[in-house]
This record gives sequence, C-alpha cells and structure tokens, in this order.
Amino acid sequence: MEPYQEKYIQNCRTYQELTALDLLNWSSFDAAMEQFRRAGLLAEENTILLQEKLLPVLDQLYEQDDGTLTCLEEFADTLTAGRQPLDLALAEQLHTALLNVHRRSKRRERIIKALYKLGMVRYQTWNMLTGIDGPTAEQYTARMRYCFAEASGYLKYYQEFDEETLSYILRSLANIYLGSFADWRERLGVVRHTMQVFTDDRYRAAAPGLPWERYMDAVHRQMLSVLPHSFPEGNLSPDEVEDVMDSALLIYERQLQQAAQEAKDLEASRLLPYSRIEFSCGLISKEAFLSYMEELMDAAAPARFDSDTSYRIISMPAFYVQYLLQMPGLIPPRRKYIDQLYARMLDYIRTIPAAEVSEATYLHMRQTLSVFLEQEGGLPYLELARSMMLWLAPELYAHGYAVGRMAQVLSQAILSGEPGYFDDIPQIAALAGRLEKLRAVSKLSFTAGILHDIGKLSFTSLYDHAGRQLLSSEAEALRLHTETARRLQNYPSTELYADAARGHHRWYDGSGGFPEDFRRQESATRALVDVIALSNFLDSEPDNAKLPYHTSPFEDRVREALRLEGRRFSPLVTVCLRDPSVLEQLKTLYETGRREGYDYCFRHALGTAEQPG
Amino acid sequence: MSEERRIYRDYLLARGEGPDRRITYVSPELCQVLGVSAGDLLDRDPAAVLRGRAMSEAPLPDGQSILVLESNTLTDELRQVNFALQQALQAAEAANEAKSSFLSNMSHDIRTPMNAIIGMTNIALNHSDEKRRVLDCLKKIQTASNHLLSLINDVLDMSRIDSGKATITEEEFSLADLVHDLNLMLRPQAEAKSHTLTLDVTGILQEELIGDVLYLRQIFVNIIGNAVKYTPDGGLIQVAFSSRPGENPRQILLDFSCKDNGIGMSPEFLQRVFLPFERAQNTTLGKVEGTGLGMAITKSLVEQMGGSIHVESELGQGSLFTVSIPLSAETSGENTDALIGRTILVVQPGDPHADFIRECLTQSGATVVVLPSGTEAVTWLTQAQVEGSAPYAVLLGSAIDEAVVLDLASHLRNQLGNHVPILLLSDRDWGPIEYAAQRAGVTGFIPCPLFRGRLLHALCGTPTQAGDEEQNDFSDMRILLAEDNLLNREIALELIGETGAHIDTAEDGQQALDAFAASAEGFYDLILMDIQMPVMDGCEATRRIRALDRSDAKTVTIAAMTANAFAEDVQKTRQAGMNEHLSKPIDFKYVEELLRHCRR
Repeated sequence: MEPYQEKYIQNCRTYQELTALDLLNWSSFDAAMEQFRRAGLLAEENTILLQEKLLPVLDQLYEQDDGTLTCLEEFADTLTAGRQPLDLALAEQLHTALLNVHRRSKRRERIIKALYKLGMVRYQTWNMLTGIDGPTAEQYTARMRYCFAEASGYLKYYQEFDEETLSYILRSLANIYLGSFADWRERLGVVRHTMQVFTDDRYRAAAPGLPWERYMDAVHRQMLSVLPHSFPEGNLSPDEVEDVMDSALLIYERQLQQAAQEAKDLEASRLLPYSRIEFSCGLISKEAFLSYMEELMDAAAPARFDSDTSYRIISMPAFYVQYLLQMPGLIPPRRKYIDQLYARMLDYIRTIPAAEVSEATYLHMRQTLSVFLEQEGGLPYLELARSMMLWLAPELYAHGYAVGRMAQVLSQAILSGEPGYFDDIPQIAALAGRLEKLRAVSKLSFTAGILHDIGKLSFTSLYDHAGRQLLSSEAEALRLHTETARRLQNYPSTELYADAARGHHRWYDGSGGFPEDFRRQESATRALVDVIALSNFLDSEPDNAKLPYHTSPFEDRVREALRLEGRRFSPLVTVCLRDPSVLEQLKTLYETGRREGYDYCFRHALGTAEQPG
Repeated sequence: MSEERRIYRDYLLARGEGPDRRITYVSPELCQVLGVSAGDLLDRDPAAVLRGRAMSEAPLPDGQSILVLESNTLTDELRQVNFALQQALQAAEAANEAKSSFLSNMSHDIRTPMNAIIGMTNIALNHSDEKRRVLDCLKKIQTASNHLLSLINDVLDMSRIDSGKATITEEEFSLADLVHDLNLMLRPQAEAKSHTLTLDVTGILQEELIGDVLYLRQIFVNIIGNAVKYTPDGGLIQVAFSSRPGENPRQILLDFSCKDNGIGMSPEFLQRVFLPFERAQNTTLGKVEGTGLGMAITKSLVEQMGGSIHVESELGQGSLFTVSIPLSAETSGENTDALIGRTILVVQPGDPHADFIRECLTQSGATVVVLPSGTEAVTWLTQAQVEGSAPYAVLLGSAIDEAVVLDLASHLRNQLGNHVPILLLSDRDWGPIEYAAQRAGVTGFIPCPLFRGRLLHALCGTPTQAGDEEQNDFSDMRILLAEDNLLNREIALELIGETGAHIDTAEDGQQALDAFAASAEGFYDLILMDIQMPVMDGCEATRRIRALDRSDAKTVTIAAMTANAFAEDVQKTRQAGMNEHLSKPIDFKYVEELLRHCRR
C-alpha cells in the first residue's frame, strides 16, 4: 500500500479508539471531550488525505499502472477486513472504480475478482442495515447479488481459469444465497444448487487445492438459515425436511465435537438454530420450542459479557417475542416473564464495558429494537430506545438532547404568542390550563428531540468510522433513518413522536427533502415536526455526530434557516429566530447543547444523573 | 312505400300448435296497426289477437311460423296514425318532464356545492385566527369546487350532444396509447380502494385506428370509473378490449367490456341507468361522488358514433357493461425483418406477459430467452458474452420489483456496454423515474398493457449496433470539455466522438470560461467540467459562466467530472451551478444520456 493509505488506515483505527465511548472509564468528562477534539482533528486529516492523495489517482484511473491498481485493491481490502470494518463506503467506491477499469481492459480474471469483492462489500453494508425491510432491503440485496451472479456465470468455463479465480467464482455462486429473498423456497433452491456444484467431481478435480470441506461446511450452514427466523411449524415437504435436517444435524454434530475438544459448552447462537429448525420441521411442539428458548435465556449469567451472554440476554428476547407474536394466545401467561427479560436486558446494557462492545452487540441491540412487545405496565419502548441510545450510541443521545432543548425553547416562544399552536395534537388540545399545556408541550418537544434520530440506531456501524466527511453514498443510506423510525408508531409510548422522527427532513412546502411519501399536512403532530425540523437543522453541523462541538458560527446557521423560511422551514417557527431573547437561548444551546448531552450520558453511567427534560 | 313492403313489415312470429300456439315476436308496425304494445301481445294466442284479420302464414326453419298481415284497411291506417300520434305525445310529455326534471336536478346539484363554498368561505372569514378551522373550511371548499366543475363540464357535454353540436372527429390514434392513458388515469383510483384492475388486450387485431379518441376516452373512463366507484373496497374489475372485422376490410368493430363485482343494479334501476341524474344508492358504499350524468353522456356518445352499449347486472353481484363501436383501421404494419435470427432476453418474474412476448417475437423470427429473475439474467448474460452471442435487446418486465429494476438495468448496462437496448415494460407512469432510468441505462419504455405493435415498434425502432442509430446521432450537438489531463481528454474525445457530437476542449477553467463567453448564445449544448484544474477550478469557472449576461448562461447544462464523492463537495458543485455530477472514471453512456436529455 502507499504511505497515505497506511496513514489513512492508522487514522481510522485511532479515530475508532478515541471515539469508543467507554463512559465509565473516562477519567473525567473533560478528558473525554479532549479525546473527541483529537478525533475531530483526525477526521479533518483523513478528509484531506483523500482529497489530496486518493482522488487525483481516481481522477486518472485509466492511466494507472498495475502496481497502483493493486495497491488500491489492497487498500480497499484492508478497509473492510476484521471484526469491525474501517470504511465500507470508501471500499465500495474503490472496488466499483476498479471493476470499471477491468471491464475496460476486458481481463476476465480481474473482472471476476472485482465482482466478488464488490459483492462482499455490498453484503457487509446490507448486513449493517438491520431493521430495513421491504423495497430498500431488496435494493441493497439486488446490488450485491448481481455482482455474485455475474461472477458465477463464468463457472461454465471453469477449465479456463486458475484455482484462485475459480475460488472466487465458486464463492460468488454460494453467496447468491446472501441477502433477503421474497420466498424462502427460492433461497432453498439456491443452496441446493450450490451444494450440487460443490459436490461435483469435475470442479473438485479442476481445483484440488481449494478448501472444499470448508466450502461444504459453509453451504450446510446456509441450509440452516434457509428458513426465515419466525417460520411457523410445518409447511415443509418431506424432501425439504430431509435437506434441512441433514445439514442441521451435520453442523450440530460438528459443533458439539468442536466444543467438546475445546472443553466448552456450545453457545446459544448455535443451539437455538438447531432447535428452531426442529420446530419448523414439525419435530418438536411450539411449547417445547418456547420452553427451550426460555431455558437458554434463563441460563445466561448477567455478570459475563461475552458474545454468548450478550446473545442470550439482548438478542434472544427479540426472537422469543417474534415467535410469540405469531401465537398471540401464548402471550398472556408469559407477560410477566417478558417484562423480566426486558428488565434484565436493560440492566445488562447499562453494565457492558466498552471493551466488550462489538459489532455483535450492536446487531443484538438492533434486533431487539426491531421486535419488541410493549405491554401495559411493562417496559415502554420509549425507555428501551432511550437506554440503548444512552449506553450504546451516546453521540445520538447528545445530538438528540441538544435538539430537544432547542425545540423546547422554540415551542415556548411560539406558545407565548399562540397558545393553541399545538392543538392539532389531541392530547395537548385536551388540556385546559395554559401552564399545563406549556409543560406538556415542553416535555413533548424534548422527548421528540431525543427520539428524532432513533432510526440511526439501525445502522450506527455504517457511518462515521473514519470520521471523514460523508461520501454521497453514505448520505443516501443515512436517509433511511427516517424509514426505520416508522416503528415508533407501533408503540403507545412512542407513537406521538413517530412523525417527527419520519418527517424532520421533509421540507415544509413539500418541495424537497425526504422521505418523499411523508405528507406533512396529514400529520396531527405537524407543529411538532416543524419545530424539530428547525432545531435539528440548527444543531446538525458538522455532520460528524460524534463531535461535541460545532465548526461554523451559529449566525451562519440562522442565516441559512431564514433563507429557507417558508420553503424548508415553517415561517411560524422561523419567526422565533427574529426574537433576540430566543436567539440568545438558542445560541447558548448551540455552543453547549451537545456537551450537556454527553455530560448527561456520563453522569447517567455513573448513576448520578437526574432525568432531563 | 310499396304495398308489398308495407305487408312485409306487419308481421309476427309464433311457436306451437293449435291452442298452445303463442306469439314470440311482434313487429313495431303491426303493433301500430293493432294499437297495442308488443309487451301486451307476447305469449298470447295469435288467433285471439288477430281475430278477423287476414294473415298469410309460412313455417320457419327454427320451428316458428311467420304470420304476415295481408291487407291494411283504412281503419287500420287510422289506428296506425293514432298510435303513432299517441306515442309521439307520450314522448313529448316524457321529454318535457325530463327537461323539467333535468333543470330541477341540475339546479339543485349546482346550488348544493355553491352553498357549501359560500358557507365555508363565510365561516373561514369569521374564524380567520383559528388555523385549524380555516384549514378545514379550505379543504371543504376545494372538494365542493371540484365537484361543481365536473358537474358543469358534464352538463355542457350533455347540452352539446343533445343539440347535435358534439361533432365526432375522425383522426388517427393509437389504441395502445389510449389504453395506456386509461391505465394511468384509473389505476391510482382503483388502487386507492384496493381494487384489482385487469386490462386484457390480447383480442386486439388492429392498434392504429381512426376515430374520435377524446370521446372514446370519455366513454371508457366513465364506465370504468363507475365500476371503481360502485365496487366496495378490495373488488375486482376486469376490462377487456378486443376487435373483430367490420362490414368492410377497412372497418373493425372495437369491443369493450367492463365487469365488476360491485353493488350491481336492480332490474328497476337498469331501466333508468342511462337517464340523466340517476345514481345508485347503496348503504354499504355510503355517499358516492358524481354528477349522475356520466352514463347518459356515455350512451349518447356511443350512439352518435354508430355503436351500441348494453348492461347486465344483478343486485349485490356486480355489473357487466359492453360497448361495441365501429371504427376505421389503418393498415400499416411494422417491418420486423430486423428481428430475424436475433436473440431477445426477457426478464419477467411470474407470467404476466412472457407468453405473449414469446409468441409475438417468435412469429417475427427472433429467439426469445425468458428468465424469471435478474440474478439469472446476469448469469445468462455472462455466458452469452463469453460465447459471443450477446442479445439484440433486453426487455425488463413489469413484474420486476420497482425497487430493484433500475439497479438491474444499471448492472446489465455495465455488462452489455452502450449499444444493446434495454427496454422497460411498465404499466405505471414512468415520468417520475424517466431520467433516473435513463441514467441507469434504460433505453426506452414500453407501456402496458402490452400491444403487439408497440412491442415490435420498440424493438425494431430502437438503435442497435448495426441498425438505425438516429437516437445515438448527436452530430448536431456541441460539447465543451474542460479537462486538464491530456490522457483523460484524449479518451473523452475518442469515446464521445463516436456519438458524432462536436467537441471543443479547454485545459483549465479560465479557458472554458473564455470559450463559452466567446461563443454565440446557445452554441454549446453541454459543458463537461473537471473540478480540479489549474489557473481556475471547475466550480469557479461554473460560477462565472452562470453569472454571464446572456440567455444560455443559466440554462446550459454543466456536468461536473470528478472522482470526489464527498456529500459536501457534491453539494458545493450544485451550489456553484452545476446540474450533474459524473463520477470518474467516467462511464460515457452517462454522457450520451446527458446529451439526449439536453436535446429535449
């Protein structure tokens, strides 16, 4: 790799260390803020490195020699290697550029390799978008899958390629299985086809040096995952049962053997899939399956912070609830138990040391946020979301805190002139007293601020690794946070905030912003949406959420907001920006809001914080 | 009229023997002679009815007998005249009553929304401080205004038709276009009520017709619109178009049917369905919006065109409207020689059009490969290219998920290069996605429901490697290329040059600015601007170009060429005045798409 590439990678690693928010291990709040300041400088350095060193190379990519292209490939590979990728978006851009160059040169081996690598980067990106369903998930799946499909098309000419290229072709074929499928049987067909190919002697003879047993192992694992997570019992043909159970048994036995050799117990993440398949194949009853899940969850030791315990305590309740939602008759006797699971989960999250927080932790957390059962008298979804933010994504909480405080200032200013401004919200309209109304709106505004970016919890790992400016592809992906925020409307504790979370980027006059299908006029809480939209804009610079400070003057933000008055922002809200006393309060919050938010996270970790807002 | 002819008009048909004989049909003329309506005569014993009258009788092949009145006496003539006068009087009275009823209904129906508008306006004025109240009033005013407008339009239509001022024009039109318009207009309404709306056009013989397309559209919109309105949510509406030969080789009969499983009509209402202001009331649907003139207008228009309209309906089960209209047909067909021996790749999950496409194209001599998924298509294409048999064209079916079709098009385009057309079948309005689709590599759209002629024209008319390249001929266009790197400039000149466009080059932003300023207004169609350049960078050059005092300074398309994909920097290029952002290494198909876009 080139020196600038090595430097960039080193900076990424350092940035991640500096911004790993080990709240309990901060020697002091000021020390933590100093860490962030240093991280901010690294972010600037990374951006300049790319602008001055990488972009000129990409500008003239067609004239680069093979050595430079190989360096770029190695650079891209390093950015995605390891437990936690360093910079997925940049890696994708590099692999896309390399693929274009190789297509132009028509060198098939390089095209195949580039397709495989691009597909893998796209898979890693897709994998981080937990909670994204429907068309968007399909889109990301499709982009990944076409790369693998094209590469695997060369299998027919396997005799023309060396072993390394053939391994890319075979792995591409197997990877078509990845991503979402509209119909699980389609996925089953893909896995069956892969198994056929991998057991075909022709290919084994052509590339005897390839790790065929490892490939087969991977295909058998794929077979275990063919059925969707909440697949009901029965509904499989005998052939399908045979295929799935064959692979399940094989993998399960190998795992048991390995665990015995290592003198360890098998992890729940290995035990559960086998039991799930037995249930789906109709081999055990639903009561037996649920009991088994309860047994696995109950066996977790909350004092341990390994991935198995994290899986049992954070992730498994989500699967458990997902199955129960399909069998609602079985929920009532388990209500108390579910509450206990959630309470234990919260306690656990509060005590995870930063060193133990990994990509798997975030995945488990996202799974729980995606499937939750809010019960009367039980843990509100609002509390779960808030806790997750505080502990695992405090940068989101800090920004939300600043936005919430600004929203409070704006709301109070508006109400002083127009007491009925928020009366479209039935709960506010029902309040008779002016003071009562003011308090309620203030609380509403603050909570809406805290939750407005909750959708970003679904892909906290996708952005902001390297600290550099966002690439346009990342900016596009980040917009999805308004889609994942839809789930707020599913829970009584958060339904009031759903529109503010969905619509705070949509322009007031409907002429811009996102999501396009958000109709402001149809929202009963549109007054709140307008307030959050402006507050979020004021606090959104720079776009690096982790930094507890701003890099441009407050006056610039205000000027821009007023320029967009009536278009992006409601004039009934921006009018407050002409009030000097309001401006003064907002400016103070602009300068200190995020710090206060981080401070709250810090004191919350110590157990000394009072509930703000 | 000759005596012979008069005799043959006064007749009836009967079936059976002796006292069991019964009348099955009576001609109107005989009714007049007898002074009795046909309904009163049917199923009666002809001997009793025709007592005292001389009739000639002859057997018919179907077992009935025809009885013809032999003579017409003076009494009969008087009776005939009286009957006719009686009928005329009844018709005049009915028309007068209808006119009074029409005016009364119309007056009421116009006053109702007007009252709403005036009332709501007053309320809004009296509560101007209450935002919620004002908003509510404005919404109601909007609804009432729209209703009033459609009422006035329908009344004017009725008036025009009744007074003979509605002239039927004869102009060439495409049935495919008409059906596509209907789909665009009505499908959203159907989807809003979760209806399944199917459009079957497989029975069409001729697509290029001559007739009054505006009135035809009105007829079909009225009928299908009613089906949507009068069917409870989640219903099924099946529309079919077919055609059959007419009386002469240049005439066809266009048959249209619309079947729904809606609320249906009672026998009593069926008698009145084509009368003005008749609207079915049904508690399950609640109040149905409409003026009540649609069917009256529809019937009038159909009959003015020489056609016929029928309705069958059962209360609670649904209705079936059938319309048949004679139209003239254009005889030109598509020359499909270009497809002989070619391979067409069709990506179509499910089966909506696959069989039809296969049949159409196979008949034209092409080989059709139909694959059910984009993944399989990409794999197939890989192998086809290795074997040197890339397809002539690619069709992406309407059943491909909207979320992924553009990504599929983009990937296929990257595999295929620039010259193979990729066509998108779509039953939706593609306007909103047209530009994004073209940037993704889609060459064109084929509307659904799918017509043979439209499909063949799209394939035979699109440019190919060896075929017609009018669409790819940009020899009338001028590009200013600002690029400091020599090799990049040479590559761009070579690749863009293939399109025929004239290219001027500049080595830095200052040269680009000078070249543009020195050119005549409208000289350049497109400026490709590198960002990082010596002397003056691309953003500054763009700002200065946009600030020039000439009409094309603001409108000329300027596209940034850069590998820089930072969101903030993309924003900066836009703020500088650039319209597009092309990532390096540049894929020159995007340049072609830009040129096409500029041409429009």
